[in-house]
Amino acid sequence: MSKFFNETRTVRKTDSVPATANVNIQDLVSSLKEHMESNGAAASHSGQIDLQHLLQPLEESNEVASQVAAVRLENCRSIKLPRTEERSFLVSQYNPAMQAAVEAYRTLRTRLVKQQTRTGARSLVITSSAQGEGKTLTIFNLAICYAKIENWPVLVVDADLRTRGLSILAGDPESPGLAEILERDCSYQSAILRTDIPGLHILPAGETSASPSELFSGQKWKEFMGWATESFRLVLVDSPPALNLADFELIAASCESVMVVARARKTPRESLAKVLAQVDPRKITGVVFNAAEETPENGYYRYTAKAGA
Amino acid sequence: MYSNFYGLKQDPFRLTPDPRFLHLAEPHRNTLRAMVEGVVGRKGLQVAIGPIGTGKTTLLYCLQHILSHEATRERPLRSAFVVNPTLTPDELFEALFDELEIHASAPTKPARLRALHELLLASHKSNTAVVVIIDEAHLMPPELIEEVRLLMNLDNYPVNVLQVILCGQPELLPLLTKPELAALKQRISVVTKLRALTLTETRAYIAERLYVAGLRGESPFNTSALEEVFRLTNGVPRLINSICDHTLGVGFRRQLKKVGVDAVLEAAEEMGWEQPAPVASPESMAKTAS
Repeated sequence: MSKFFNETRTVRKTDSVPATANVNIQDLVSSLKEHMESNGAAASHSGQIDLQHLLQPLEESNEVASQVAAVRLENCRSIKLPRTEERSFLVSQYNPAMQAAVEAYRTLRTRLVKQQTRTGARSLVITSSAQGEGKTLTIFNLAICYAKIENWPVLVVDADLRTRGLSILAGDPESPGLAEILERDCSYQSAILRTDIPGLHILPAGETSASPSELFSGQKWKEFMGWATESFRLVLVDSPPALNLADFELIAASCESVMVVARARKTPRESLAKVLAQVDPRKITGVVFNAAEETPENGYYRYTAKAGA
Repeated sequence: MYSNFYGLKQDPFRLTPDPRFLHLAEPHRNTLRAMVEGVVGRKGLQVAIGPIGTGKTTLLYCLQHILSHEATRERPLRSAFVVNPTLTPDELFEALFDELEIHASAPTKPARLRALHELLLASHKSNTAVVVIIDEAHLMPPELIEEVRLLMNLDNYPVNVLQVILCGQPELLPLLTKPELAALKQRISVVTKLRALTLTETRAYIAERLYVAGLRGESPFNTSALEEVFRLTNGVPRLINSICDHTLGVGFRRQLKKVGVDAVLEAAEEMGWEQPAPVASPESMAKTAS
């Protein structure tokens, strides 16, 4: 053996599995191996490499990620999302006139997935300068787009405890919700709802008489977001407008990234600048330019990633 | 030792050494997927970079294992894994031939090139690839990198037979931009970047490992324990595994159903860790992220 070769390790092309104390994982290995070998035999006949077959161990790992959320919320309540909301992607995807909007949400998702892969962020809070700029609808439709990716469990949190827009859009489910988690020791499982869209969970706002700013300043919000981001691959948080309310900053403190929604012909440039100045620049993911005129050059919606984010 | 106490069926942080079934963290899964797709898509030359301690070598072993399952008796897939590339060109050839299990008729360059030609032709005919993985490639002297380019010139088939993966620390990329290596740089078709885990990825990774090990109830780690694990390990998976394993050992000795910062710190002390783990400087992380 040459002097350098003892540093050069080889993986022999055998199926031997090294001895290990973990008996159960061994069983798993054997069954997976059998499965892979049977697939492999099929692939070799065709003379083509079966990429899916090679990537199977990675797919299995991705499934684990979604199983963690499923097991933790095994006994949570289920709701059927309303299908009557006209602006909602739920119905609009069957409406040809809204195809441009659907496409814009998909583009937004694609860009966010790319950023997420790079930065590792699993939580995204969406805000705007004032009410009525379209953040709740953006978040809802974006979540539906995300849930369509296999093994990408998504949780949408209605953190706008004042207007509860997202909860209303989701059919105004009964309490408990986020407020009860923050105010009392309500279990996450009893507040989070499984929707009829696979992979999509919703945490409604809940009810409280306490000041939202007080609730978000406690340790429980941080604890909850920690738990949520380790269970879900994406946690989307709908927050109140950023200007004039303390809630947003407290909410954003426990989120890894921030996206701002601005509405064409409505959001004053100065307000948008104010919002952006208020956010930690490292967290800004981008600005959604909502309800822009449809022209051949710009779609129904536009999304611009912030340079240097 | 502690598995039963925490409702686990096996040790979550000491899973099987077979990397094919090792549960990897999400960024590592993404990088590995890109590498496998690169080889299967016959992209030719791939470059993979990541700062110290981010798990590059583990990933390359996973890649080799995964690819070895493409091989059948009729269509063997040859792969070579060179981990110490501070070699002379002659030594590199010797290492490659040994790894690829081929023999030249004489220890001369023409004989070696002929043997390689034959291997590439046979692989082309059977529609398989020859994979050469070079770890720590940032340590390669320029003349050795040039040798790799010449190797790739042997591959004149319509679909690339020879798949080369150069893996190293982030300084590998600037190394490849040197004017004398321009010809090689043009051949790079896939660049994958590995980084350490973020706090949430660290938490998710721990939660997933516990799930794979059979946990179905609440996590035995509280929030501040998980934050301490991240602080001490800087998101390096190998270190996360060892500190979590030791922490649950401490928790079991103290009969704690929920472990906190104290148990993590005690475990770190047992392991002789005084400072957070040395990983890449923020500058090199920034380079990797860009």
